[in-house]
Amino acid sequence: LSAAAASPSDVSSGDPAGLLAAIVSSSTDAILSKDLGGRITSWNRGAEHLFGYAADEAIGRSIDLISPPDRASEEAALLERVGRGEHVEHFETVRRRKDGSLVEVSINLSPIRDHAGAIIGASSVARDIGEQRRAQERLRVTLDSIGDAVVSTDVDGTVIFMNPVAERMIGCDSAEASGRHVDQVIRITSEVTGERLTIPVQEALRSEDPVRWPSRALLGGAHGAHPVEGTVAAIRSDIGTIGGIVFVFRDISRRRQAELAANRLAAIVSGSDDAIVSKDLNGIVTSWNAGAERVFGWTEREMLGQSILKVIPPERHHEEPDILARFQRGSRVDHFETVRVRKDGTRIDVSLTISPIRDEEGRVVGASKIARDVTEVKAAQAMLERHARELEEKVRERTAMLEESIGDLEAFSYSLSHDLRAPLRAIRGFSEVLSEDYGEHLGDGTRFLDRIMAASERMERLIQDVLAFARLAHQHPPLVPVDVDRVARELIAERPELQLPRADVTVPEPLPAVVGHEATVIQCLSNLLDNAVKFVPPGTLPKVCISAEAEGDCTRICVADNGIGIEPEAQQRLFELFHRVATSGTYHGTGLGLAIVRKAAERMNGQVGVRSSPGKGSTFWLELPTA
Amino acid sequence: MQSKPSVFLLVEDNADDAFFMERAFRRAGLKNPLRIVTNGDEAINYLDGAASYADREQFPFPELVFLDLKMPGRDGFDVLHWVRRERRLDVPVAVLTSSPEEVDRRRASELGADEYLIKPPTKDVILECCRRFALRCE
Repeated sequence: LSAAAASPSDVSSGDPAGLLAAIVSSSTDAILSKDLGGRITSWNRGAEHLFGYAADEAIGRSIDLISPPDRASEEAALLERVGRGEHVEHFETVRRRKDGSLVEVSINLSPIRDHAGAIIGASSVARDIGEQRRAQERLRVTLDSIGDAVVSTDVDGTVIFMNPVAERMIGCDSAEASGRHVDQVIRITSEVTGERLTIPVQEALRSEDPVRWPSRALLGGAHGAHPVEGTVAAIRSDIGTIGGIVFVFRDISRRRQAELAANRLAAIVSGSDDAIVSKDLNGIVTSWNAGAERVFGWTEREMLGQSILKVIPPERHHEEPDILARFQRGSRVDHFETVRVRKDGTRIDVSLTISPIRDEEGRVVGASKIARDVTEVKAAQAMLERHARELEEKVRERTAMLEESIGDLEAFSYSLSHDLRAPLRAIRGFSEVLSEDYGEHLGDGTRFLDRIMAASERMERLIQDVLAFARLAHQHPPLVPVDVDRVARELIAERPELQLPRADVTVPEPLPAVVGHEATVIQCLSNLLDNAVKFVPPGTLPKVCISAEAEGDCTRICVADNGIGIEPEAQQRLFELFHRVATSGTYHGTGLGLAIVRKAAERMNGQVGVRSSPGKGSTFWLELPTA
Repeated sequence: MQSKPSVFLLVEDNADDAFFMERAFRRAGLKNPLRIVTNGDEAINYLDGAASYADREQFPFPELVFLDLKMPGRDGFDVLHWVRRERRLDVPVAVLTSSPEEVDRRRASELGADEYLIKPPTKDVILECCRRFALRCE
């Protein structure tokens, strides 16, 4: 093999050596030879093509010509092996081209022997495996990258390849699985029965298309069994020969969960009492649950593909664009109360909750609408409102009646003060006329006239007291500081019956001011003093002392007398209306005096009370806020 | 004319009260004319010289009016209102009523009453009025 390049014409010569030379010369593989010293001795066209050096550039040079610097010792080591008589096959390495670029090559090295059989050099066949390797790498990366598990076997089912997804799912690595039968590697069982399932390999070998695995298959893996779906297919060459079998499968746990969740939601939706409806952006109904059938009366079949406007009363058609606009901005519409129409034309009150339905990219593609029939709730509300209105109406009526009663009371008081007094005045007046003008003719009869006049005076007082009480009952006088000391002293000064010689009424200490209504305070003091000087044993000079006691934030005005005193059991009833302790024979009174004081005290946020025991006098007190 | 005694007008629907007024006049020793009308409408007609009161010889314009408040038809307040607000007469008016109510007292004062007297009238009260309004007594 000394010729560098034999011409093709040599092939026809019938010379075996020439034929070999022609083969070497025309091979697309790089074929070259070197002596044991590493000097290149032949260099074919394939080598010229692969490495970029012409034959005359390479022959005679060291083989290091095409070794990258980092692999400088590699050729020497290879030569040494060949020198020992070894064949080196498929040695994959990198060589350097004339232009400096690197090329991946697979090299076969064989010894060259002389006629005596001694090794004198090495022949080297180098093949560019860069393209092939890249294609393989692409395939590997592709298989590694796809989400599905891929296992391939030879025609007999012996595993020759597993991608990482398959490794993960099955729980063993490629090296472990290689060489084993696929039945031992991929084991699937029925999710339903738990029995072993067979992957339809034979069917796939007969079919042009991939064949599905049995449904509801569970793949036992390192992390428990997972639901899987898979296909099996024959690997066919371009010419149709079967080179192996490929199994492609995927874990469908997530999808199964999503399906379960979707089924659950679907069950919820279909079982809901509320109407749950979805529609697209044009308002066309895309789903219609049983609740919607019940609430609106239209069946799913009647509504699918129809406009939602069908359930919206004409006068509310304007609501729909508003709602559409709102949820297209992505906002929900919650508890929107409106009216919808049923198939039978009746109106129902509904509460709507409307949410946007989005596609995977987040675009709003429709709306789901939950409508709750609140007709009954509304009716209940309306009833409540009606009751509330009725109640209000009643309160108004009662208030009006009460106001009328108060008005009546005022009219009654007014009437008393005018009408009742007129005849009384006549009785007194004519008694006077009789007494004054005809007294001398009446003799002892004048005594009876005196009694008529005394009786009419008592009646006048009674009327005054009733009027005073009535005024207190319906008036709310403004409460201001009242100078009790001045009021008490003035009262004594202008009433002869409270002065000597008829009574001894004293105010030893100045009295503090209180908060009240002056006229009312005067009325109280007046009534208390009237009582104090009235109820004394016959022949006794009434002695009354007015004093004050501090009682927290209040002041007690005390009126202490030397009167007959009051039994403890009688004290409780003293302040009742028209209650009189003394018998009318001895002491005159209307029975209203203390009731007036009590009512007056209440009106001024105060209270009244008494301390007394029979024979030891009484102390009546009026307690009012201190000014 | 100047020496003629002052004429009084009593507006009173109650005959008893009218009697007591006449008696109080007598007891006060007054012989002045006391014309009596029995309701508000009559009082207004009298003061207006209208209807049957056109003859001022027989029904002279009074120099003091005693006016009851509570009367059927137009009451004392209506008469006061007519006298002061509608006709703007300055004849003295003494309200004579059985009502001691503050509300009546205030209203009468607001409408322009000169006096507020509680029934029954006494001779002292009558004489005090004569003095106060400088009436010519007889």
